[in-house]
Amino acid sequence: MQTTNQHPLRLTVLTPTRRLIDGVGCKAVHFPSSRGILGILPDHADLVCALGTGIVYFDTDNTTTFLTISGGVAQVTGKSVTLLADVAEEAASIDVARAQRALERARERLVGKGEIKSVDDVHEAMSAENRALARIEAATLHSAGR
Amino acid sequence: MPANLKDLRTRIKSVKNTQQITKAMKLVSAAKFGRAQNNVLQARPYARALEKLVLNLVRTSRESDTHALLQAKENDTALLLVISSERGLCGGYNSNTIKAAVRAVDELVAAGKKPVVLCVGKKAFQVLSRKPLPGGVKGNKQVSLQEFTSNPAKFLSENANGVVQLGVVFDRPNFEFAQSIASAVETAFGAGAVGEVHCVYNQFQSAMTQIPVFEKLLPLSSGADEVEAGADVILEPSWSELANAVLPRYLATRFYQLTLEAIASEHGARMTAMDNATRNAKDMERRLQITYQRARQAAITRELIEIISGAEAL
Repeated sequence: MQTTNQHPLRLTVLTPTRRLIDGVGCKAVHFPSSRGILGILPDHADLVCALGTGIVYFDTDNTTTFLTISGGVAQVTGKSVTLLADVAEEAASIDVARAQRALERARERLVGKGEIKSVDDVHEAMSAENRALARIEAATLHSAGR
Repeated sequence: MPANLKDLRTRIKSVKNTQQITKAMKLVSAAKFGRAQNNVLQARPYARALEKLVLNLVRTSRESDTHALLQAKENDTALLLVISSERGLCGGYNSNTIKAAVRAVDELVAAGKKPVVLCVGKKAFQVLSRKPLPGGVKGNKQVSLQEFTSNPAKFLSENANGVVQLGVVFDRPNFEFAQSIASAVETAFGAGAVGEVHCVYNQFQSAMTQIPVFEKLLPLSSGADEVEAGADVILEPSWSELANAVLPRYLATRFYQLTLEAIASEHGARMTAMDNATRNAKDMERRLQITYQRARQAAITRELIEIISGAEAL
């Protein structure tokens, strides 16, 4: 993922343990903030925002690449987008079967089959469901080669 | 140098054995070092970027924007985290850390603080708990992670001017561990039970160089003098919500980064030390071999002379 090309917007995706994407030039970046999806084009105003759970996608010359992320913060300047995610995964490396199982587990917990003791457990199950959904969707989009 | 042949033979054998051990240790730590180095290098960009973001955030704050972690506290208690290793045989790694820790205690005492020295990794604790430290700082207590994190404020007030070992086996990086320490420190700092948080650890440079550093972790300083304040940045959600999300994360990342640096430094130091030891053993073995061969030759010559002169006498 170390391509350099003409596009002025540089995307960097970092997690506490890995550097997923390092300064890839792209035409546009879309990522989930805590309040909905943001699309960033070059020369965007400076922005700092919290990240939500969902799919990041960015366009380079003629391909679109998908990632999933969950939690963290983003820093945007006119020339760069830096995503500091708690968790991030490239769509190409997602294990769909595992994500599907995680989704089923989360839904089981939500309908009350598992152990729900407090409101936190419900939130936890809901965010697990969201994470699983995002991963499945990213993998689907990736294999569809949108 | 042992003179007779039998002694020499035993000595050569023992040097060879030592060499085999140091060589094995070198290989083991080389493998661990590779992993640790990779971890550090992968984690550094994130830590740097987050630090930059936090500084940015602090700079864009207005009068009304404050967060517990940014305010200076009226308290002389200063937590000093000393990160060393669990095992020895790593050259000057631990003794350098200890020296840096003693200097740090000295500095804190001189500034009128009451340091609480919290050791992670038993090697520094073994020395610091026995050594006379500046300002009458001493102690040799062990606390479990649980005891520390459940009530950090009480722990800190009980152990002012003390040396305490955190009862964890510190041999691999662990984000949960860093996070639990960070949240305990955050609680204590938020409650005003501690005025400053410092850390002594080894910054990883390469396998040959590790730099013991003494760093202030809290209160966060903005370094505002470098860049013009009030840069026009859109914040979403609000400043305080962002600060609440980012600052604890930053602290946890900071602690995690410290442990990564320390572990990579330890393996690097051990690898270098064991490499040197192996080379020394090889040198020594060669010298002993030469002495042995000379002694053997001398003995043969002597015996021959005895036989010949015996034969001539007949």
